[in-house]
Amino acid sequence: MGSHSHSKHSPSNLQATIHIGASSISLLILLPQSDGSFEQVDFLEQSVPLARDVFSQKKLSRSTIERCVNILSGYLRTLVEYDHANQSFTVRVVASNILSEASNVDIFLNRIHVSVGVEVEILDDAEMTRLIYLKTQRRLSDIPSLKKRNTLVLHVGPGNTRSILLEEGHITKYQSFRLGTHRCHENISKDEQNTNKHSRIRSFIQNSLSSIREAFADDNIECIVLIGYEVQLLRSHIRHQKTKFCHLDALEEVSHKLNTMDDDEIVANFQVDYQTANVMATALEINVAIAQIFQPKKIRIPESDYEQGLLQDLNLSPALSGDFTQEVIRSAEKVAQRYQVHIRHAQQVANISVQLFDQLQDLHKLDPHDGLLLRIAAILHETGLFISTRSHHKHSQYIVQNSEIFGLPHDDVATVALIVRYHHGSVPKGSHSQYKDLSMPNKMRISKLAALIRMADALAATHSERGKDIEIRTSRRRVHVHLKNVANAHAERIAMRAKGDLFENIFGLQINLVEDSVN
Amino acid sequence: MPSEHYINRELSWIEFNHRVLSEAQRPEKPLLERVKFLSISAANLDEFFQVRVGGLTLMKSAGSRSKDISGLTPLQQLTAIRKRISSHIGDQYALYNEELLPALKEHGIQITTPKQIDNKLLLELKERFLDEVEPLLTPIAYIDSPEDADAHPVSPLPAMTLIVAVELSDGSTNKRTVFVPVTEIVDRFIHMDKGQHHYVFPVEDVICHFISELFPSETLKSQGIFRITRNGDIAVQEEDAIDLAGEMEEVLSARKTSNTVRLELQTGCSRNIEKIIKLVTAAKPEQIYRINGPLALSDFMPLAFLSGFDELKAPQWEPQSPSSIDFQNSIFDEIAKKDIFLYHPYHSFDPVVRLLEEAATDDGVLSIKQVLYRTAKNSRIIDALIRAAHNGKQVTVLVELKARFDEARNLLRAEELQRAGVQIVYGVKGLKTHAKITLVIRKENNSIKRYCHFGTGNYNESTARLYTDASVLTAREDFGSDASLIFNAITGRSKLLQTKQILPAPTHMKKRILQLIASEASRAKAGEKASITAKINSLQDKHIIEALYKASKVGVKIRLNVRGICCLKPGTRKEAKNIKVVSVIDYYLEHARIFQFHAGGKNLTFISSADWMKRNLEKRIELMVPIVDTSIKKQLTEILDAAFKDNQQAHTLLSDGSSERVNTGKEPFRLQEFLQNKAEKSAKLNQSKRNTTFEAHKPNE
Repeated sequence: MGSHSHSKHSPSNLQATIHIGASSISLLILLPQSDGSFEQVDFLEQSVPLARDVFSQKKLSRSTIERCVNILSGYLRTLVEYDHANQSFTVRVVASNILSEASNVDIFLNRIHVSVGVEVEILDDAEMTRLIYLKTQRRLSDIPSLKKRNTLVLHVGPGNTRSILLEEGHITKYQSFRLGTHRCHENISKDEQNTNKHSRIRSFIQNSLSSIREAFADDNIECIVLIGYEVQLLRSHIRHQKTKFCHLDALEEVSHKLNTMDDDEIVANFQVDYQTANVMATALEINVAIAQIFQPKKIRIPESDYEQGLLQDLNLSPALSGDFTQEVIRSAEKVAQRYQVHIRHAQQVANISVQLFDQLQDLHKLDPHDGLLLRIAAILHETGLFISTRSHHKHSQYIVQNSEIFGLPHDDVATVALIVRYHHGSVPKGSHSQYKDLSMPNKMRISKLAALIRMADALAATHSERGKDIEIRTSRRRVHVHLKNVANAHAERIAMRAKGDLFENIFGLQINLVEDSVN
Repeated sequence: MPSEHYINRELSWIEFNHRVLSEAQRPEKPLLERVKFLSISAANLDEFFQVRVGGLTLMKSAGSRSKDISGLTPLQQLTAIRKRISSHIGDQYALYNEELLPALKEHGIQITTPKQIDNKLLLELKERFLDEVEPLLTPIAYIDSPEDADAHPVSPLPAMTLIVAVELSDGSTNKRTVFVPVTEIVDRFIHMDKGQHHYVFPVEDVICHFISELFPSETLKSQGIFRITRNGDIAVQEEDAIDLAGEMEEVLSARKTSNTVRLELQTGCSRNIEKIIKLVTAAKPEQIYRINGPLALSDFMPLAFLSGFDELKAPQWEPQSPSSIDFQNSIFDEIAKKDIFLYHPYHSFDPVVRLLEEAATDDGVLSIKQVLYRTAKNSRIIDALIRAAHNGKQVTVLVELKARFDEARNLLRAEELQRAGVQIVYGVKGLKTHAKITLVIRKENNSIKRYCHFGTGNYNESTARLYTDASVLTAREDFGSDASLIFNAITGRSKLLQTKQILPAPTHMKKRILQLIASEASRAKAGEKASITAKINSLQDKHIIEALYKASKVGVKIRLNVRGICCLKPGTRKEAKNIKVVSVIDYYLEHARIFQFHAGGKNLTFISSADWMKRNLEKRIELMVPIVDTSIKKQLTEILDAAFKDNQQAHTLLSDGSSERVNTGKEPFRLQEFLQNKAEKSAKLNQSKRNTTFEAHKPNE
């Protein structure tokens, strides 16, 4: 009999992600397949005016908070229907970082926690960047021609706009601007004297537009990829060339049409809800305005649904993927180049740092992500020389602190800046600003990483190709660093005398350099 | 389009009811079958007065002079309705008094009054009255106090209830009037079997005759029998309602006391009593109908099913077990194999019930979702849902409380479901949920599988034996994920997202139908073959009619099988000459909605819960389900074609809104008989196939 043939099954590992976005809350439930892909099980979306509250009152209203609670309760019921209680079922709840601009964000998060029992994780800038990067990656593999052109990937979000410049398929510039659909819409809504929607939008975004123009002035942008909730919804209404790309005038056409329509007409014509209809015109106008600066030959808008794509990407491991790491490193190297760093030396220090970090893992027990930060610090440690040789480590710290490094959130940039500061000169001290405010575990982290970069810098002392490969062995009281293909490590030994102190103090091991005995 | 190109909706409906009545007028039909159709026509009329005439009366009294598509104001419509209905009622009672009553008598069924029987029988009748009727009566005294105009009546008289009014005297000059409502707890007929004769006494006559048993010290001066119809179309102010369920209860009680729209007076009522009835009911002259015969012919339905008179009944058709399902297997396996199509009542409704019953106990099933509109009295479906909830399944049911006359029952069952732990949603605010959809979510291996049922009729095992409806059971992924989207939307958990296959109203369906009609028109213009075939209950939406006119004008062949209301006016005019409208009235109520568009040979075919009416397409949640399985498409095409071949039970609509019987073709062809025979034949074939293959019971099974 077949009636119960399916009753025995392996435990499911459904994954659910809830995204509290600018104007909606959505839920995506996925079932991972053995081939690594995902089967979409369900998708729900409800509108809620979060961004309107944030940008018009700087806080979330009571009714908005209660609506969120209601929506989330409904979503939890949906999860129960998929046997959430009985199975290994992971749920992640994330929120747009515009929420952090609400003065009562903590009250909101507490209310959610108390009423529906979920912890909300606010997506930081790095996570957003990673998501946009994943989308870009997918674009690149879909459309090989993008790799040949100078392509600007733009994501006009609710509060901020992210831009990624791709040259030959690699990220060469990354910048974020305080220009967003809802931020703009709420601000211009206050201005009631000017009845022309179009000119109100334009005058509000004027300053941001010139920053964008400046940032990419010399980059000869040939193609623009527009990513965003609203623009992707509108895609099917924008006239496309052979369905692949569109021209600027097609975009302008729809924007013009939107500017003449009221919300009801937009709802009826574009089949969107009122929350979205509200900001539709603003969203498209911002996209058009940026595109007009660069007059690209082609404009591409992904066909997929923005929200569903975002939720799917959130499910991919948040650990930095290989390609992404490469892009972070490349971005750091771009900064290094800008400050005329001796790049071969920087790379050598980076290379040695990585080897030390990996081989001393049992000793320092740090996270792989810290390894990446160490590597970035190594690339950037000499940027301060651009200003002066005196106290160059402090100049480096300042430069790093104030540079945009693609894919690194501010916390990570601050960590890199501190590692850079301590690659030379004084070891970390309780009196140093920036360092003194750190928690104890973070102080330890910085000290360990500083110890490693100092050691790596010493090992690269000859500023030559020497010391490329090392092999480490630890004994009870010593760490033996075997320098392969180096017959005479005199210079390194001298350098290590000055820079090995931190390592020896922290780990309690003496550094012993070993030349290659073969030669 | 000028208004003369449309037929008024109400008048078109009366024509439909006339077609129903005309079945009762056919002498060649079995006698009790004729009684059934007469009773149906009366029941239809009751609902028409409560809802449509009620609505128009409200509009008129609100001073509305807005015109309908045929250009009539509410007052003009009411006048036209009265005129047409008066002759319709005349036809009903002429048939009853002159044909059916004598014919029934001839066959041993005597519908009679106490006055016409002998003393022995009368004594027996009196006993029966005292035992069965008298204890159930609650007379209401009418106190005539001219000083206080608000004093009468003491309590409001119930609507849609026969009321016996009697004028009583206590011997002095004092006279008083008493109303005796024949409430629903009293049987309408007292039956007495006497050998060759089966006597049937309408209870109102018996009450009149024995009224002195109720008032022993008074004597009967005069009498009258009447019935009040009140406005039933009270809109629920649901936007303001916090608790919809609570408010519906109020509407139900409000319905009993709202304004009079019709007063039926049985002839023979005394002048005095008539005066008082008019006063009490506040009925205006144009609302009064004098009836020459028993009131409420809708109560005569049980007579059509009187036991023992089989030779007077139509041969009974039994729903057949569909050959496309092997019932030895799990229904899930059967659906997973291929889409299953059922055309009820030729095919039994069991597979649909079976899906729910199996889902209730299947280990893999996680959740069940269903929309319930009107359910049967002892619904096996609801039993299955309750069992499922007890077994820990997540059961979500949308119970539509706005389902016109079945609200009381819906509320009762909703409470029962809720107690069992079923998540209940009381409809969608502002929209009536009319979609017929069931979704079963089942975990299979490491995958989530969805099983769906889409239909054109309600989840009601009783009406599924009487209404023709189409059902599709499918496990197709696109349909399953669409079903999830739809449930997420109607249970208020998500906004309605873009569906892949299914077209929901009010958002997408009308747009798509108009598109499909328009593309047939463009194909016709380009010289291609173009045609539209639809089987619906009502056609009233102005935009759709306009689109059909446009398409017909450029040469699209349009065949419409419309059972009831049709506001499209056929004829030889340019925009109508390619449109043919046929209506079938037969043993079963034609109820399925099937649409087919030629689409350059693709024959796009849909089944739907919606009629082509404004309210269905704009004010309700309805579904239009495309048929992708080619074998099902073929079966639906065959049904559609057969619907236009019928020359036994079909009428062609004429340009004046009336209709004439289809008399074409040498060979008699009857749609419902054809489908019944086909279902029987295929069931028989399947049975004999099964009989020749033996399967052994193996251990551990």
